[in-house]
Amino acid sequence: MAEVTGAADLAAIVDGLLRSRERLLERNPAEIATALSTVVEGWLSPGSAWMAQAVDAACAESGFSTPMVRAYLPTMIEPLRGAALADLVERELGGWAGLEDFRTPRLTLHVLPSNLPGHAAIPTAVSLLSRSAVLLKPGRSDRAFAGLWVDSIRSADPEIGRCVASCYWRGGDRRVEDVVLERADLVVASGGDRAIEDLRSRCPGSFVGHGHRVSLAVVCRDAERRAAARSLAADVAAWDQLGCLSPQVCFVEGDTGAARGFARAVADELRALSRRLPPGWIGQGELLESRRFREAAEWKDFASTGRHLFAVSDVVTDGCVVVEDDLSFTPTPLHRCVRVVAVSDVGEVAGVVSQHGSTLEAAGVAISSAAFAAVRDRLNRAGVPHVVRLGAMQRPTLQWEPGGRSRLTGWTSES
Amino acid sequence: MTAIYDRVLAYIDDPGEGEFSALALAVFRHQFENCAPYREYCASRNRVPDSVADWRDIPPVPVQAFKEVELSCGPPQRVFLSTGTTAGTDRRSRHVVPDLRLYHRSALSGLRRFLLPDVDSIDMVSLIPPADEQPDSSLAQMVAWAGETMAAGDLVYAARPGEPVFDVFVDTLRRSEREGRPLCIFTTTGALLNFLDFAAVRSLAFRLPHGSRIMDTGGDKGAPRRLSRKGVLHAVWKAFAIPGYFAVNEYGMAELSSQYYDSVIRDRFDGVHRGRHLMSPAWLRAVILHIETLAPVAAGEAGLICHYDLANAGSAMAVLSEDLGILEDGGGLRLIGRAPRAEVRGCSLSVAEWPGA
Repeated sequence: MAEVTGAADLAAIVDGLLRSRERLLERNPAEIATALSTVVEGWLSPGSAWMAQAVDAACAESGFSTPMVRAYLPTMIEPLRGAALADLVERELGGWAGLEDFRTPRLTLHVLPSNLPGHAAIPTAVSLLSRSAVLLKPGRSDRAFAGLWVDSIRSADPEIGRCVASCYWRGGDRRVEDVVLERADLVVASGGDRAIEDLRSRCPGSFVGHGHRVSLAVVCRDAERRAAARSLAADVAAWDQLGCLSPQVCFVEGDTGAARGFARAVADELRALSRRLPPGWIGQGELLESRRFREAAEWKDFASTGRHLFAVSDVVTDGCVVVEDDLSFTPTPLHRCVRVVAVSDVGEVAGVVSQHGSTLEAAGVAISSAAFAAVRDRLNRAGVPHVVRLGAMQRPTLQWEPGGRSRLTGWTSES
Repeated sequence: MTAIYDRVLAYIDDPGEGEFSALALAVFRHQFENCAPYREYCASRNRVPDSVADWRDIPPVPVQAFKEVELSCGPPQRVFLSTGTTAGTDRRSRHVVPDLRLYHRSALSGLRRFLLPDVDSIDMVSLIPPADEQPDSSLAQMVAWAGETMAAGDLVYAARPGEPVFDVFVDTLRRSEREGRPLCIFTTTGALLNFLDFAAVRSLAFRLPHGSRIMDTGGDKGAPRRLSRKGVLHAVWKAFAIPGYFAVNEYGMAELSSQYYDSVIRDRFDGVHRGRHLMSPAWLRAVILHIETLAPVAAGEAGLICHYDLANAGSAMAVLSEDLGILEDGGGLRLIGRAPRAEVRGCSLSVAEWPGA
């Protein structure tokens, strides 16, 4: 991956990408999908050298524990497996012919978040499929994956591979950044609200911003509680809860006693996971925020009769589960910290989360099969774009549309 | 119940060598027996009076606890609130004071020792609003007591809540210049920086008489910009002609009854030559704890400052702050600043960014 040192470096890379794209336009999208599918299988096949290198690099760069990276880095690629890209085109455009009428950006800049490794995979594949040249600007702690991903495409299909590059520069370095912002027809950026607005204000072309989001869980009355606790713990522990699909608040149908019983079960499950998927590095500020969260609940316990804190262990980074007294929807400090809130029914959940519609990402629901669709629709109407089964939140398919925006048409329709 | 408070008051009046430890352990026992949430907390840590022999092992209360429960060994005489502008998810801390004599004696003794060791009384002006208009501010109360007991005349207030009254302040400074009477200025650092900007725009400068001094406190809260301590001292010299050795920074918290002060005036008074650092009175001690493990750090290493304040005998003597500091040779405290805020790594929205948090 190129480490860009100056505007001239980046301009030369952009020139090269745009020249190479001329050849890409001559390729059949179905053929591109097949080539990318080969790349995906190369990564996901047992003993993959690409994956092995990426795991090593991600452990060093990101601070996640090695078992965590091994378990979850493949989930960043798996959504592209098999006919997933063809299915995406079918779903959004009615088939390959739909791509012919598509106003494809000549160059798409993907400004990727830094929270998890592996963010480059899906955006690259989707943009190449639409025959746009792609420049990836990975996050500070996800540089190696992006570079390896580009190399693997070049290795499998040099002609397609020459249409994508990964370059790192310090975000906000206008001297460098403005070169590509001016030449990209489309910028897709993830990050904090301030960074997103700054980029948006400097983009003459189309811009799609993904700000920080929050996800939740719902455990319905008929769900088997132990299984639901295990599912919630798995969704929380994955990536130490730093992903936007990580549930932070779990609404449990029933009274406070039921919420407490469930919280205890989740803490037990998180304890087991802390051995299998140990927590990774945590910054001092985040550590203090987690400690404050735990202390607030603990001191409530010292001053009242009901229990609020269900700590996973004495180690702050192992996380904790806190039972709230009131119906509320407030995020946690992440790092395996979950709030559990008792509700009478899903209608109450919809009422309280609908006030935060623009920040909602996903909900995981534990419920009997027959009733799932009705709850999903209810939560969709409340502003939660993506609703899946609890336990499956961290293994999304390509049907997940981040921020509720279609993957292909959501980007290109603004061009 | 007041016997232990009387012992602390006697210690504040006459700190004797070796008394701190015994008194701290007695205060711990008092708080364990009379403050139910603290008792539960200590029991959960397996640290009870019969098993604690060293005051450093007394379990400290995190400042977060002051936001959740009333930590008091008796019915309140006063309740002081934090300003609520600090980092985090925050309600304001409530410091319940069952015996106000402790704060009164501690605050005035500290001021006398570190700000006014060389004068019986002095003219005073305050950019901190009056206590009767800010009854929940422990700082305002301390300044009011200083005015009642150590001001040469009436303490002049050049502030109302949330609103400095700079024309009153300027008049007071001019009178001090004209009459040659040294002036003591009480201010938050934020109000001071606001005034310095106000004065700069109007090309105002003052030559206060020798012996004038300034006490600022509160860090960046309410400040229009950040300024280093050296920058503050330089600006104070330019604006007021108060030299650095008469400029004292106070470090306190609403959750404490005692304060740390820059040592400069005290050192000058004692004829000691050393660099500027924060000193505490004998009844307030600091221990530095590792930010992650909360174990004591080695000498000279930075960590979270844990305060042991005997004047907090009625609430919680041991308070774990969220400020970072270093204990220096000779017992001085070097304040580094607030512990870092959470830097959000995730695309997951965390509570640190939640509106209203």
